[in-house]
Amino acid sequence: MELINTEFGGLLIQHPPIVQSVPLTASEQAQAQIDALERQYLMPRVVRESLIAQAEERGAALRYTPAQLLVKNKGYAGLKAIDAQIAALRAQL
Amino acid sequence: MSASSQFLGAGSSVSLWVSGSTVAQWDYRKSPLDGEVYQRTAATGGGTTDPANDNTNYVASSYVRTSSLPQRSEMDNGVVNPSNFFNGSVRSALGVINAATRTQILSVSGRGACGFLGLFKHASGGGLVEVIVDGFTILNYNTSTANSTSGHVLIGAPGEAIVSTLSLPLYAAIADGSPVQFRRTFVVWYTPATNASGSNATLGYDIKALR
Repeated sequence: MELINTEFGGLLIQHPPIVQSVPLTASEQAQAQIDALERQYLMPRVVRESLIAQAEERGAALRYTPAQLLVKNKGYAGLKAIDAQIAALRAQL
Repeated sequence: MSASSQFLGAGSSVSLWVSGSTVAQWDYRKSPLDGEVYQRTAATGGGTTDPANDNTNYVASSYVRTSSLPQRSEMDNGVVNPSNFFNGSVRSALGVINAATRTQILSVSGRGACGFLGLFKHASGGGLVEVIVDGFTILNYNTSTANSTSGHVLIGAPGEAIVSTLSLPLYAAIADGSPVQFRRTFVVWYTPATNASGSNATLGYDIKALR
């Protein structure tokens, strides 16, 4: 292995080649954003989808349309928004 | 004049060490090799070895001289991408070093300090790490590397990060607040034992210059 000379502050440093930074792939970036969103809302996918399914079952029992359910159940609307955001990112994986 | 003020208050009052001359126990001498002040801890006597090269009879007084480093165990980062090791340090690509081949992987000449040193072999199996400071071997360590995702932090500390749900204990490099100082040379050798290092093998270091 050939060492490379670098002068720094009066020092002579002989070192191997510097590691080049490897940027995250698009998939890794999307996964990182999903992780950040899920941590932000403390709402991992299994919990989120279970709550959405429960709300939709209840809405169906009350004969709400999806649009009505979004208006009447603000928690459900918030969950759906996060879920849609994450679904879009998941599509990039 | 107290012994310490001999060099702290008036550096010029410390005599230059002269080969063969007698030095009283607990007296100070300035090394012609590096200009630093050393205190004779051995009984009054002479000698022909410069105090900078004599850590048997002298201790460094004008700076902290590290005489030994601990043999730290490995940590498993769980990944092989070198981008996930020792971020924040200067990272050098070691690549493949053949088994049983003693290879100099870092050499620094001058006056400085090393606050971080990390080694990622990217292959299982042991290897001998030697850290030699101003001619003294302060680490001679046969590392044991369980798998290709493990690494060693030999100076400083690792910083953990979560990347894409993975917990990476060796992601960041945190420099030691009391770095290993050197006055002339700082050299690192690595000798893989029976397995060569992998293509992603990486050395991380943090060196600062001192004047």
